[in-house]
Amino acid sequence: MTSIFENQKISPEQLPEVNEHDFVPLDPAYKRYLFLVYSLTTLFLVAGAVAFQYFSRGTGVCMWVYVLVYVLVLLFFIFNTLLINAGFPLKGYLLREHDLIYRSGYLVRKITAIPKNRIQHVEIRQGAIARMFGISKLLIYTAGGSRSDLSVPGLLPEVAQQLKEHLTLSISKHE
Amino acid sequence: MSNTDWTKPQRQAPAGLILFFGDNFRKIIRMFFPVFIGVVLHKGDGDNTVLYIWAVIILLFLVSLSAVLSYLYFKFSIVNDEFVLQKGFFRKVRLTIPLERIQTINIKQNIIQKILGVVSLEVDTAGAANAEVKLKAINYRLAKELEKELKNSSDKKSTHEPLPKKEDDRIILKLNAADLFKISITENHFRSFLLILVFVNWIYTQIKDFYNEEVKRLAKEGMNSVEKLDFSLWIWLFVFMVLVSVMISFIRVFLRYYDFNLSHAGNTFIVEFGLFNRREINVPISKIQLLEEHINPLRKLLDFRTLVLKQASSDDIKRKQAVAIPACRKWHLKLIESIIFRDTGSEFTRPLYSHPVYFIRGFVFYSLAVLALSVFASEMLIMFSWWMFTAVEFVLAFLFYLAGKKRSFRFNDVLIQITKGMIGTSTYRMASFKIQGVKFRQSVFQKMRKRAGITIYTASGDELNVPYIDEKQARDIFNYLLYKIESSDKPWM
Repeated sequence: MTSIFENQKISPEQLPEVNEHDFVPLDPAYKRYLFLVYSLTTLFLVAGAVAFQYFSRGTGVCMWVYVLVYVLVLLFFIFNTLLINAGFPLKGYLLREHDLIYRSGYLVRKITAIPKNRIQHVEIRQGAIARMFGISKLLIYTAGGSRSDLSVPGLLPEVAQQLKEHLTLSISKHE
Repeated sequence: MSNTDWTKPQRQAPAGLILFFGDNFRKIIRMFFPVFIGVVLHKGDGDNTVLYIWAVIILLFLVSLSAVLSYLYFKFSIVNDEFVLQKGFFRKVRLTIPLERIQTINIKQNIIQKILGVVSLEVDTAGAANAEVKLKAINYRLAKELEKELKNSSDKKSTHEPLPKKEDDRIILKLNAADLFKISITENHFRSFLLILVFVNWIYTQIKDFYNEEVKRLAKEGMNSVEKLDFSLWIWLFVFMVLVSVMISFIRVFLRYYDFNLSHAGNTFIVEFGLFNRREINVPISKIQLLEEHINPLRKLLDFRTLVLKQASSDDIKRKQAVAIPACRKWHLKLIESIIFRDTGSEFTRPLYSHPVYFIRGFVFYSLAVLALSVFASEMLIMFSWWMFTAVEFVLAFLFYLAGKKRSFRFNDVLIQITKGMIGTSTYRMASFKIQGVKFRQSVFQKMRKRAGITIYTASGDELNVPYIDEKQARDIFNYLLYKIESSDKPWM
């Protein structure tokens, strides 16, 4: 297949590439954080299933329905555990001269890039559970609506702070 | 020219009193609606008429009082390069907007304002959602003066645009009644058709509740006669429906776009349109992020296309910020493009098409939905036939085939262009440096096939997708777009 760039002034070889090996992995605490979050969600689901079983007593619900519900909850747990395990090493960010790139996703791999000269503002957030694990999340807002805002989770607070300062500095440079 | 002293707080036109009264009245009605219903439906023992009359009088008095107070305490002025708005009697609000933050000033007039001889003036600011200002009733001359005042001072501050300001507006496009007629004839009548169906259905259910038995009998007879109907009658019915659809479209288009004109003055487009609801919208050219062009086959014959100008906006006010030009010719488009993009760039690359798998997947998905519906319908209806299902499937297949042939991406050194559509064709163009973010997306299945997709985020909140293209090309485009954004220091807004 011939490249779409064939009659352009610029050829793709001249462009800076995103090197997959340069991505900085997230802090391992984030993996434990994810496990905990999904375990808690599973617990909620189990509670829901138990409540369902309790309240539907005597309404003639077939036993297999209960089995199905529990199997689904179990599958949810196994599926997420596998996905976190497989997906975690793929998550990472990459700070380049002119942009910030975040990579994630195992089933659907996503690489999102926000140029520094398009960043509106930067924020650090830390939820209650994340605080227990000592990790923060960096939120990057653009003018492209909420779907294009980028969040980089699983950063050590000092790393998040450094990134924030760096990006904020580049915002003021571009204004 | 300006003979109003804007540093002194100004009130709105006295006619505003009536508007304020109407507004407050409507608010009250909405608030106490359940109470009114209760009062009307309640059949008390005694005669409470006197009580009700007193209640209404007191209510009217309170509403008038609050209208007068809101009128008297609503003042605006321009002090120290800030637009200042004060309002409220019980809860005082003082709003200041630095003039350089003002993005657009729109003048609008609805039917009531037309009768009262006033217009409303809206001031939009970048970002800050709470800083939206609306003056509901000022006279047109004053509105124009204020607009000029606000614009001049805001231009003084932010002079990204080196273009010399021309005083006279250059008219680009005017639509007369004949144009509006053509627009309405070539509308997508399917929508009007559905509207009629919904309306008929609504009437039917209304009647059914009252005359249950008769309707059942009539429906039965109707059903019998429907089966007896010969072919020519079906055609007449169809023609009738089409005529009604065209008429509805015509009324809609005529009311909305009456006396449409688009002009260009300095750094803004000015769009005016509407019969009862007259609107004048200013679109700063630097704020335009995306230009959409929509053509359907009928309009193609007339060389008519609809353009939509998408401006930078935050999510919640997104819908308001799109300005549509209902019809224009190719040379209008070229002119508008040359104004928006200044440099429309070199020749475009050849189109890059999405892989057929993407459309086959879409077809399969919709087919399954249709199949499910058909199974359901065949259980419920006697008139259902599997021939109908087959026909629908063929139509679907054809539509997705068309979609696959049209969907493409191309670019030149200034612009990117995405084309898509099934029966009609939509083209999206934007300056590549105005892109806000880029995403590369690849599922495990795509990875096996060495395919990937690109999503482009714009400041108008739109997302442009380039799905299912060759992985290497996707990477190149990803890198290229980032390069275009990062190597540009032009302001995107």
